[in-house]
Amino acid sequence: MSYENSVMFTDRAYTIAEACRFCWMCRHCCPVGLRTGREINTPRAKGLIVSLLKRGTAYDRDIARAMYECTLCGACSNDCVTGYEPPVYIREARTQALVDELVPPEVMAVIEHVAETGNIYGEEKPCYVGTSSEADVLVYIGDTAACRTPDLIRSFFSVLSKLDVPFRTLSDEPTSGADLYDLIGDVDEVRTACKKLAERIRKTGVRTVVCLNPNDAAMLARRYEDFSIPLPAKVRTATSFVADLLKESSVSVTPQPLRVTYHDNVRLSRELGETDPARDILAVLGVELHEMFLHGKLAHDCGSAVFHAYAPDLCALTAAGRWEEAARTPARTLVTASPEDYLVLSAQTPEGYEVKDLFAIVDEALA
Amino acid sequence: MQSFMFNMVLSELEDACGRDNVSISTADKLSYGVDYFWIGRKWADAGRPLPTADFIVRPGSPEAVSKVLKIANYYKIPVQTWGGGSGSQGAALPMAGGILLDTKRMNKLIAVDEMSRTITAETGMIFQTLEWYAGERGYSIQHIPSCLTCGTVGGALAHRGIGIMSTKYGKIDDQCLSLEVVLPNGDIINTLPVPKHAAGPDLMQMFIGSEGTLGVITKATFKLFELPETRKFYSFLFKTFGDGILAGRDILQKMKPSILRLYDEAETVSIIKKIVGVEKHGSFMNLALEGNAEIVAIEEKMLREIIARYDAFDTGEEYGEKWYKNRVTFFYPGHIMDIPQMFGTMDTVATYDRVEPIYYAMKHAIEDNFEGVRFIAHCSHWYEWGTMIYDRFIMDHPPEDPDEAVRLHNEIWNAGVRAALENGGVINDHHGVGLKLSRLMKEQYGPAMQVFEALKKGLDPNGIMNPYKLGL
Ligand SMILES: Cc1cc2nc3c(=O)[nH]c(=O)nc-3n(C[C@H](O)[C@H](O)[C@H](O)COP(=O)(O)OP(=O)(O)OC[C@H]3O[C@@H](n4cnc5c(N)ncnc54)[C@H](O)[C@@H]3O)c2cc1C
Ligand code: SF4
Ligand code: SF4
Repeated sequence: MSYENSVMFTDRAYTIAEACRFCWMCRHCCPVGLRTGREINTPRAKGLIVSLLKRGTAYDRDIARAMYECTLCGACSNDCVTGYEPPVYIREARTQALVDELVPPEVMAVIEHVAETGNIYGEEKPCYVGTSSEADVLVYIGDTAACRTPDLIRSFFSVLSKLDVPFRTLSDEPTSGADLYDLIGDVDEVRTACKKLAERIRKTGVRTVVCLNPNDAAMLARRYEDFSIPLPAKVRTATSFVADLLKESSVSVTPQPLRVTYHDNVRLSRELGETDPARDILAVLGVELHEMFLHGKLAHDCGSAVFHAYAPDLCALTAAGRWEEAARTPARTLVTASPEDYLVLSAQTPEGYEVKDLFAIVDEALA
Repeated sequence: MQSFMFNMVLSELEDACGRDNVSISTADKLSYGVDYFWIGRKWADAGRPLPTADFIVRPGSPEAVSKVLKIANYYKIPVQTWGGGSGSQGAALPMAGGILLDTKRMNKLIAVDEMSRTITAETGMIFQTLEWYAGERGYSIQHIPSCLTCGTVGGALAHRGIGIMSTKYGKIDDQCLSLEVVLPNGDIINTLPVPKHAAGPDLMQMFIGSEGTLGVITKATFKLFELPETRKFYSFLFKTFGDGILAGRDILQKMKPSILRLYDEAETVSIIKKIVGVEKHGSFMNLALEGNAEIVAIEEKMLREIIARYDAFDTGEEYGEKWYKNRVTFFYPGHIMDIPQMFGTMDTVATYDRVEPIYYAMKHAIEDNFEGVRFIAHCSHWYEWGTMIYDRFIMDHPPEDPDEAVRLHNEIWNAGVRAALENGGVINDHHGVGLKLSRLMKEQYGPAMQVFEALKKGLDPNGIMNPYKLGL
C-alpha cells in the first residue's frame, strides 16, 4: 500500500488509473456511461479522478458517489488491449470512501443490511433443503435467489432431480462475500465472510459445489484463490454442470417451441470465460436462438443485484439498455442464467416480452 | 455570479434539462477538465487546477438544447459543447467556465433507410454504436477512425474527422447528407435533405467543422455502404518517402484503395517496426483494396504495375493485414506517446507538389531549432490532388515545469505550422483547430477570416459559443 494525501490505493490501482486517465478507448462498452451519458461514467474519467486524488484533490462525497456508478461488469477490462482493469481502482476507491466515511447513504444502507443479516436485502435468508444430506454435490444457492427469486431455485432443484443428481445445501447458508466485495472492496469483513463459507463447505466434505448464481461462482472460483482461502471442492457454474449432465444423460427432452435471445451474464462470460454451456443447453432444448449483436464476452451488462439495491434508477437504465438490444432481435423471450439478471431484467420487461430462466425451460423440457 | 444568482440560473437549467441532468458536482467538473490535448494532460499531471465549467448540462433532446442556449444567451454565459472529449485540440475544454453541454444523452438511432442507404442518429451517440447499428443490417458507414470508440457522431462532424477507409469512402464531410443544428439563439434548423444541389452555398458545410462555435449539431444523416465482398491487404517498402508519395499519387489516378498509408523512414524504423514487425529500412506503405472481387483483381494488377515503376519491395500481404489488425493497438497506453513526453500531431494537408517541401521544411523547423525534439510523419489519407501529412513531434525530456513546458510546446507548434503555411500547406486535415491552433487561424486565412467572423457575429452576437476556439 502507498499512503499519499491520506488517500490509500495499491500501487497496482494507481498504475491502472494512470494508464486510463488519458485513454479513451473503452468508453463505448460501459453500460453505465452509455445510458447516463455522463462523462464521469467512463473508465477514463474515473481513472483521471483517482490520479488527481494522488495529486492532492480532496476525496469528497461527489467523487465517492461517482465510484459507485459502475456495475463492475469488466467490459472495459475485456476491451483493453493493454490488459488494464479499471474495476481494481474503482473497488479500492470504494474502500477508501468507507474509510473516509464518504459512502453515499443509499449505498451505506445496503452495507448495513449485509452487516445485520449477511445479505444485501436485510432479510433473514430462507433455507432450501436438498435431496440428500450425504450427497457429494452441494448446491450453493446464493442470497439473491434465496431472497428474491425462489422459483429459480425450485426449477433448478427439479432439474437436478430429474437428472438423478442427489444434492445437498447448507443450512443457514452463509454469504459468499461477493456483494460485500463489490460494495467495499478487499477488506477484513469480506475475507471473514469468505473464510466462513469456505469452512462450512470444507466441513461437508463435498467434492463439487454448484453455484446457482454466476456472481458467487466467480467469487468462489477466482477471488477465494486471490485471497488465499482454500476451497477443498471444485466450483462449477450451474450452467456448465447442467450442460454436462444433459450431454451424458439419456433422459428424453421435449423440444421447446420457443424463439429466444440469450443474455450472457457478465461474470460468467468475462470473469469465468464461460459462454458455450448455456448455448449448448438451449441447443439440446431445441429452441430457436437469435443472438443479440453484442453477446458472449461483449455483452452489455444489465446491472447486478447489488447495483439494483443501491441505485435502482440507474439499474433500470442499464436493464432497459439491454432490453433495447434484445428487442432488435426477432425473439420476444429473453433467457437468463443468473438470478441477478433475472431480477434486474424482469423489473424492466417491456410490453410483449418475457424473461425466462434457463433452468425453468430445462425443467419444462424434462417433464 | 453574485449572491443567489447562481442558484437562479441553476434552477432554469434544471427546468430545461431535468434536475438529474444538471450537475455542479466536483466529480463531474473534474471529468470535463482534460481532453486529448497535450497541455490539458500536462496540467492534470502536474496537479494544476483544471479548467472547469460552473454548470454541466446533459440535455436529452434538441428542444432541451434550445432551452439551454436561450438561457445562456439571456445571461450571456459561455457554452462549451462536449461530445466524447477525445479531441486533441482542446476544443471541448470549458476554458471560459459557464456551461458545459454534454451531448451524450442524445444518443438515439432515428432511422435506417435501406431504400436510400442512409442512417440517421442523434449526435451524442458514440460513433462505434452507430457503426454497430449499420453493421446489424449488413452495412457500414465506413467512417472508421482510430477514435471510433472514443468520440461521438457530433464530435466527428464538428472537427471534420476522418477514418482509415477515407481514401475510398471519403471524409466525414463527404459521408454526411444532412444535419439538424440548434443555433446559438435556440432556433432549431435543418440543412437540405441532400448534400448535392444548386440551392445556394452549402449550408451543411458551414456547420461541419464549426467546433461548437456556431451552434450544437443534434442530428445527422450518413450514407450507408454495403459491406465489401472482398478486402485484400498489401504492403511495400519504398527506397524513399518521396517515391512513396509519387506512387500514392499514381495509385489515386487509377483506383481508390480503402486504406493507403505511407510512413517516412523515421516512423518505419520506430512505430512500424514495433507494432507491425517490419525490420527493414525504407518507407513503408500498407494498403487495402476492396469491393467486388473481380474489380479488386484488376486493381491489384494495376497496383503492382505502379509499384514496379518505383522499384518498391513487396513486403507482402501479411504486414498489411497485421497493420489492420493492430490499427488501434497504436493508441493504447504503453504504445502511444504519453506524459512525461511532449508531443503533438500537426496534421498538414497539401497538393502533391507541396508535400515533400512541406515535410522537409517542417522537419528542419522543428529538429534544427528545438534540441531533443524529433519529427516523424506518415501520409494516411489521400486525395486525387494531394495527401495529408500526419506529422508529429516528440520530445522525450521536456521541461518539468508546466508553465515552461507549455511555452515551449506552443513555440514548437508555431514553428511547425508556420513552416507548413509558408510552403503552401493547410493548417489541419482532420483534427481541427480548437484552442491549440486558434491563434494561427488568421495566419492561415488572411482577410478571408472575415467571412467566418461575420458568420460568427451574425449567428452568435453574444459570443457565447465555445469562446477562444477556432480563432473566433
Ligand atoms: C485515440 C484517439 C484516436 C484518434 N483518431 C482519430 C482519427 O483517426 N480520425 C480523426 O478524425 N480524429 C481522431 N482523433 C481525434 C478526434 O478529434 C476525436 O477523437 C473525435 O472525433 C472527437 O469527437 P468527440 O465526440 O470526442 O468530440 P469532443 O472532443 O468532445 O469535441 C470536439 C469539438 O467538437 C465540438 N462538438 C462536439 N460535439 C458537438 C456537437 N454535437 N455539435 C457541435 N459541436 C460539437 C466540441 O465543442 C469541440 O469543439 C483521435 C482521438 C483519440 C483520442
Ligand atoms: S481499461 Fe484500457 S482501454 Fe480502458 S481506459 Fe483503461 S487503459 Fe484505456
Ligand atoms: S466495470 Fe463496467 S460499468 Fe464499470 S467502468 Fe468498466 S465498463 Fe463501466
